[in-house]
Amino acid sequence: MTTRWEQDLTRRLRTLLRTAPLHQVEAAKGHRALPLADQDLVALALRTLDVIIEAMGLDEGALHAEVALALDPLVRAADPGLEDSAPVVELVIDALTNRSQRGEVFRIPYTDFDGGFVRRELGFHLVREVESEDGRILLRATTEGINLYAGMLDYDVEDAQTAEEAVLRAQVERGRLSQAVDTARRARQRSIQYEEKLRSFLRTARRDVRGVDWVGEVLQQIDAALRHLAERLHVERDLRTQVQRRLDETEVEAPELAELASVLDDCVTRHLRLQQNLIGANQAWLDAQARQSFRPRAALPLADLERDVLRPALVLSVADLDPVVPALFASFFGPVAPRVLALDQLVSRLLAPARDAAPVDRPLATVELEPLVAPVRFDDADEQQVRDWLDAARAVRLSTLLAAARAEGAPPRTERLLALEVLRAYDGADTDGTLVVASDGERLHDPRFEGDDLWVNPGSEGP
Amino acid sequence: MSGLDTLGHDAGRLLGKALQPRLRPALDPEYLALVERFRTDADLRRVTVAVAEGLGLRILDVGATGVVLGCSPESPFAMRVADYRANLTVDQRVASGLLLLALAAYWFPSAEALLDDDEVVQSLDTAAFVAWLVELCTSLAATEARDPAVGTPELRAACRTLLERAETRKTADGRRTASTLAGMVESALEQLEKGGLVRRTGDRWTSTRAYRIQVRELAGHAAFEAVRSAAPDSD
Repeated sequence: MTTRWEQDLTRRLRTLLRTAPLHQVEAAKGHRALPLADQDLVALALRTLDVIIEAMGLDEGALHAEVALALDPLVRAADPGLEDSAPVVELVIDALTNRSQRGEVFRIPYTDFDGGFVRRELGFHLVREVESEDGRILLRATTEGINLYAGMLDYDVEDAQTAEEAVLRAQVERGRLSQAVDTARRARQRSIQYEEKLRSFLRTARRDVRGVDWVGEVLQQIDAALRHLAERLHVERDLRTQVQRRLDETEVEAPELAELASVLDDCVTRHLRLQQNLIGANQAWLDAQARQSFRPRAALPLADLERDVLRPALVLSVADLDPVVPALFASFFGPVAPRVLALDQLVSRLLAPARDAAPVDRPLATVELEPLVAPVRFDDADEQQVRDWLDAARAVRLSTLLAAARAEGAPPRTERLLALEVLRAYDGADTDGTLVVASDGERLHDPRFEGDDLWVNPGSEGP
Repeated sequence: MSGLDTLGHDAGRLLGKALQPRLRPALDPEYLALVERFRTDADLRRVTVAVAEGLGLRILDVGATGVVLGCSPESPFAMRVADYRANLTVDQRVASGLLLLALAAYWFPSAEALLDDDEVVQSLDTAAFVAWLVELCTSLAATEARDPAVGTPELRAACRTLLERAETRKTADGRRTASTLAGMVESALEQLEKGGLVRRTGDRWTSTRAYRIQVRELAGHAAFEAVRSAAPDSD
């Protein structure tokens, strides 16, 4: 009996190697100009994958800004003195997209013992930058990237998904809800992963219609996927009904049940959408065929631009190259709509009076504004307190009133209102005559206020 | 003959939209409807392709992000060197053309990279790109046999012209001058941005889906042919 350790080893080795880019960036961080000593770049990279995969659930991928927002607190927590977390975040994204190699596949050499001793190279992407249909630049995790994050490196996603749902069902049945929520979240990750797997499969199939055995291979795969999805939807809806029943019956466990319900809803929606895509896949393929048939792609194979075109061009002489510059301009810049001179408009423009200089076009700094609220200086309680003191005042000096207020422990604010009310009555302009205030030239001796020590009397009586 | 009129009109509308490369079907219902009809209506497709051909244009892709047009050097829509920057010397002209080629080769070094999914984009920062190009030119210049001191400037290898502009001279206000490599790269990218082929994202530049299609379907071949025809032994 032959042991198949060679095959197993190779498979596991390839699994292990997919984490290499993360270790490489962590190991090389000492060579960078950034202060990275306290940063755990592997952890940050995994969190980035998490954010991206999560965003892929709701959208086509994550914006750079979303990743930056999620990573900022982690980066700052590791290095509280750091002014700007953005360079660290970009470094992590660059590491995942392999930007130092211009976004090409990570190539990791390894030894294959299966069938002798062969040096091979493993090529994969973890995260790619894509342009969405509405023109945003988004980060998407590849199947390998999702596998890396999900820690599910060695299994078929279909099998994992089926297993995950069986576990989920058992947990819901036994009422182990907090564990069920965790399992449901993992199941959702599997859904995203499965979606990505099918998406890239369909994309590859569509890219070159001539190179694919559509009927023999692709349609069969689509059939299998549709069967898998139908099962998933059945199980998920079943679980969702159970959860709903519990939700209706009980109050105690409600928050966890509600979360479970929302995660399950998410899975169902995603699978329905995927099912629709798959059902439409055949039509999409026919469309792609129609599109590629009008494409005037040259019969000759594509050149390697760097090796076959740029390098030979750079050693040609300037004089040799000059005649072909117009061709380069036309093909690389694409068409530019020429501006046509409209004579009638030209005349009226030239005759028009000179306009004011255009306002200076300067980017405005965004300032965070808070709604303007008039500060409350004295509240109703202050007013009432002061009125009470003044009502009780009988031929007293201001200094006495202030001392009494202070003895009562009134806040400085109330004291100030007292002084202001007395001054207002002294002014006499807008008082109703309930208070008569007079000065005899005596100085006020008070730690907080200055001026004359006024006499305060009720309005009806003289000083 | 109202059918023919309508077809011609719609083909014109579609090409008109396509010539505004930053327009997106997702944001323009008429454009979206026309794109949809182009894919389903064989007559409209035929007329549009024919009209485009007459204008020296080629429809490279019609998809959810719009129509990608390519153009021949003879087309009235072709970008002319004089329109790009007035009064360029021969050296500057050749350097500008080479930079366009170098940008494409930086983003898509191999045929394999070019064949990646349409939606996959790449980013670049000018300093890293210039450093890469300078390194490439330096290594090529070292192996190049011609003596740079001999003959007129036009007979020197093009990589030497690029190397001469490599140092980053700065103007008094700190901006790059237009004659340095970095400055020239920036102006090329700005022009590409006007054509909807690249996007500025922060302090980086990102290629778009349209750029990949442009290079893969047209410019890559055109450049290959151009460079081959420029080589002296090809005549």
